[in-house]
Amino acid sequence: MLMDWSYVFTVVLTGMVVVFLGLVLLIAAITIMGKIFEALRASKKDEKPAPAAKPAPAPAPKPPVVSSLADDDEVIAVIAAAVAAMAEADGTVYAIKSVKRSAPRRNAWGAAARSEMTSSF
Amino acid sequence: MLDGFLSTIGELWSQSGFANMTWQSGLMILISFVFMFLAIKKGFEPLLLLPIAFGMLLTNLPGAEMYHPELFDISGGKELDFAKILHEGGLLDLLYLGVKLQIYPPLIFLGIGCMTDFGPLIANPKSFLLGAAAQAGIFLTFIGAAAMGFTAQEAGSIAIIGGADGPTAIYVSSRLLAAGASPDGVAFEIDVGNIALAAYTYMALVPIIQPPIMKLLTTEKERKIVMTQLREVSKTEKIIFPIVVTIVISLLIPSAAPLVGMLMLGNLFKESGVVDRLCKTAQNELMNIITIFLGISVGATTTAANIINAKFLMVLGLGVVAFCVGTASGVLFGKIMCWATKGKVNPLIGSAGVSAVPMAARVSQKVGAQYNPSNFLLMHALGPNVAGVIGSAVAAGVLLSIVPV
Repeated sequence: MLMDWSYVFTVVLTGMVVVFLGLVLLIAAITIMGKIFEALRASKKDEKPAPAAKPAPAPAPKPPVVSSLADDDEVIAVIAAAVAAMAEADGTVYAIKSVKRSAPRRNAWGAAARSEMTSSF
Repeated sequence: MLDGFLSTIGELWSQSGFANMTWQSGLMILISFVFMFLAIKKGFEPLLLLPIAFGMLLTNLPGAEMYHPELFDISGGKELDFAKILHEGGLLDLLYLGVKLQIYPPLIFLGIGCMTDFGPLIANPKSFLLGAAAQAGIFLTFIGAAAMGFTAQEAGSIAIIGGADGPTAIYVSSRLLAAGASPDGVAFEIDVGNIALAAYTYMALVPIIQPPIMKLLTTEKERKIVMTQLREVSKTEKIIFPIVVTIVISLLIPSAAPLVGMLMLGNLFKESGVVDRLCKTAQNELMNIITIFLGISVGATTTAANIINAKFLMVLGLGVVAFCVGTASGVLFGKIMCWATKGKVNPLIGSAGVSAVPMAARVSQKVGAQYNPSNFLLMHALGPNVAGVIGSAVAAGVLLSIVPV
């Protein structure tokens, strides 16, 4: 026995409209929530410099520069060690003339994880 | 003595499964082998496909009588006799009660909630639109099922296959088909087992069904679109999200509350970080136990009489249509979003709107990476993917609200 077509189209139309309505309501709720939290984060950032105005007990060191230099030194040492190991293996002498940072790329571990996540089919 | 021996052997033979094997049972056993092959060798949804396949094997072994469909027969206005099931039923009959009474699907949703990170969806709430668009498959298939002469309850049960969500399909079909006949007195010709089998088969085949549709509906330029990184989502936002979703959806469509509520409860367990033990149990031990019970009892309903008939072939046909239309409408809506945002959205993430977490998102990633190996669509596709879970639960609630039982 065939269903009444007006009933069929009512189900289809009501279904699609209510699904979209429900999810649009969620979009609105989540967007508002996101905006509130962004605003809260921004106001917290603005508040942060205030305590810094107080007289500091001692001059603060410059950790970012020092640590970045230390990082670079460590990286260069690792590269030099790798080149030395290679030189020892093939009996050639290499000189490292410069070490330049290449453009940022997705790291190899990330790429390996992505390939593992999607390689099952 | 020899006569006695021969007659005993003859009796044993006549009682054996070999003597009672019909071609239908044999065919179902062969199909169970195919499913086992797909699960073990091809790795297609093995956690569900393997118990389903073995349940199918057990139920079709003549004489084993592991499952008694007659205990669940409610044709002709009969009511389910729970006392009889408890007294006379075996293991599989008792396990099947969890399907019949819609206990397993919400519990599975609890575990899924514990495992799901809604961060990508919170970071980009517009993904909800893709999750909604992909539900078009459900409602358009309702038209196809109606045209083929199914009752509204059967059509709703078949259409929900397009949601690509096994537990939701079982939940909806077990409620819509619970009475055994429509309010007009037309007996149903399909049951929960038919729907579950079709739904899980297509979910396992997501990586095969979706890519051709995605490629057909998009240009190479669109497939290569690299999307910008999502914003960081705070812990508080992640904690508030399940509460907001539960309230909004349950108030709008109360019949979606069991599925959405349990999904969000699981997610609140995860994000709150204060009930680690409950979260671990829900996503591991409980989920695994329910998966075994669900898989084997769904498999048990696939008796030859239930599966080898024209109606089940129609269910299979309509199921694949529902799935394809859902995928296509997700991709097409992705194209609209791509156009509206002037090329900032890769339409390939639209296909992930058909639940099937995380398989559908992985398919988006895989197809995108084929055209731009450095493209990383997975996180972007997870947004519509988890939105699809919520979307299909909402669609389920709508069907349960507007289709009379």
